[in-house]
Amino acid sequence: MAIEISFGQYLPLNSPIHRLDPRIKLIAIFISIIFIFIVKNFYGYALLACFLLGLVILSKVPPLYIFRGLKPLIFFILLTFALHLFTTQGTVIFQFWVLKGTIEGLRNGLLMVARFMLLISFSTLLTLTCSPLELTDALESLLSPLKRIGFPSHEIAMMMSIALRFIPVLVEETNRIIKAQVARGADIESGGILNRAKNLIPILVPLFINTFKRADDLALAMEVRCYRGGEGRTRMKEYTLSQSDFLFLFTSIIVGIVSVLI
Amino acid sequence: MMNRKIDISSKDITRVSLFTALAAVSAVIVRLGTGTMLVPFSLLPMISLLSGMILGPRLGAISMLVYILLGLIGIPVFASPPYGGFIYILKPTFGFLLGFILASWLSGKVLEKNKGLLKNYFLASFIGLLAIYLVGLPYLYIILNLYLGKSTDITGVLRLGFFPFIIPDIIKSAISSIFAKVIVSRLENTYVKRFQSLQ
Repeated sequence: MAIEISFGQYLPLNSPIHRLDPRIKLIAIFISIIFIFIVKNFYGYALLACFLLGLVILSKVPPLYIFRGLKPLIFFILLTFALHLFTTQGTVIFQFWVLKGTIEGLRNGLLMVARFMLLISFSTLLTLTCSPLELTDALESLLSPLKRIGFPSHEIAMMMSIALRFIPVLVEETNRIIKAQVARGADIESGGILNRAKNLIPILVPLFINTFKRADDLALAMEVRCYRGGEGRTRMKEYTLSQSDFLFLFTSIIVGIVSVLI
Repeated sequence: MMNRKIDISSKDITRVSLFTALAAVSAVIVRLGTGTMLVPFSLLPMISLLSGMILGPRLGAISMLVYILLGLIGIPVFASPPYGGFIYILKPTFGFLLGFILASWLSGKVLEKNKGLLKNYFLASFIGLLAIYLVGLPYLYIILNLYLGKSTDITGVLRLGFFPFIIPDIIKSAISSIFAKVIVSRLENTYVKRFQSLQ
C-alpha cells in the first residue's frame, strides 16, 4: 500500500515562453484571468482562445498537456453547462421531461464553459512552463515590497521551496514506517473508522518525530552553510527583465482590453 | 525606509515547511484515493489543528498560509480540481482553506498558556474547528450568491456546508486532539530543551 505522489506538471523545454521572466508570467496570467472574468461575449473569448493557442504554440508544449489539465473538471464543466441551460428563463427551444432548455440558457451555459476552460488552460500553461522553484522565486520577488510592513516574503518563499522538497521525503518516510510497523505485526487496514484512526497512531507519531528531526537537521545544515535569511543573499540565477518580457506583458494587456471591448 | 526585523529562525522555517508539506501530502492522498485504505477521512483539517497545537499560533498559521500560497501560484497541492491556481479563490470551498489559517492560530493560542491536560487539547481543537466554519461558511455564502449567482439563503448554505460535515468533523477534531497530545508529549521527550525554545 505504498503511497505515490508526483507533481509532474512542469515540462522543461527550451522555448520563448519558458525563457520569460517567471514574475512577468505570473503577472500576465493573473491579468489574463481577470480579463477572462470581465469578458461578456463569444468574440472576446475567441480572441483570448487565439491568444492562448499562440502561447501554446510558442511554448512548444504539446496541446495534449493542456487538455490533461481540463480532464478532471469535465464533470464540473458539464454540470455548470446543464445548470445554466435549464435554469435560465427565456425562449424554450427544446423540452426534456420537466427540463426546459432555453436559448438564453444555451448562450449562458456556453459562455460559462468557455470561461472555465480558458481559466484552467491559462493556469495550466503557467505551471507547464514555470518550474515550482521559479514560481516561488517569482512570488518572493513580487511580495518583497510587503517586507516594509513586516511580511516575511523571503522566509515564506523559502518555506514554499523547502515544503516542496519535503513532500517526497514525507511520502518516503511514511512508506518506510508503514513497512516497519507491518513487519512488527501492526494491522493498519482493517476495522471501523475509530479503529483505523487508532491504527494511525503508530504511524503518525514516529512520522512526526522522525520528520521533525529531519527538519531540524536541515535547519542546522542551512546555518552551518551560513544561511541567515534573505538580507544580502545572492542568487545563482538573477532574473532580469528583457524586451520580450515587456512585449509579452504588453501583448497580454492589449489582448485582454480588446477582448473586453469587442 | 527601515525594514522591520523579521523574527523567524532557520529552524522555524524548516518546521513550518514540514507542516506545509504535511498539508499538501494529506490533500493529495485524498485526491489520488491511495490513502483511502489508510485514512478513512480527510486529514487536512486535522493537520491545520495540529500545526497550531504543535508549532504554536504564529508559526502554525504561517504554515497554513504557505500551503495556500503554494496552491494559489499554481502548484497542484489542493484536494479537489483544479488542484491549484489563482482561480481557486473563486471556488466556493476556498473559504474553508482560509479557515485553516485562523484555526491553526486559534488552536495554538488556546494551547499556548495551558498545556498538558487532554482537556485543553480538546478545547483547542474544538475552537479551531469552529474557526474553520466561521470563515468557510460566510465565504461559501458570498461566492454562491455574488459570483455564481445562485441565490442561496443561509439555511441553504448550512445544508450545503455545515450539517453534513459537522458531526464527522467533531469526531475528527477529537481524534486530532488525542494525536496532538501524544505527539507533543513525545516531541517534548525527544527534544526537551529544543522543543520548548520553539514555543
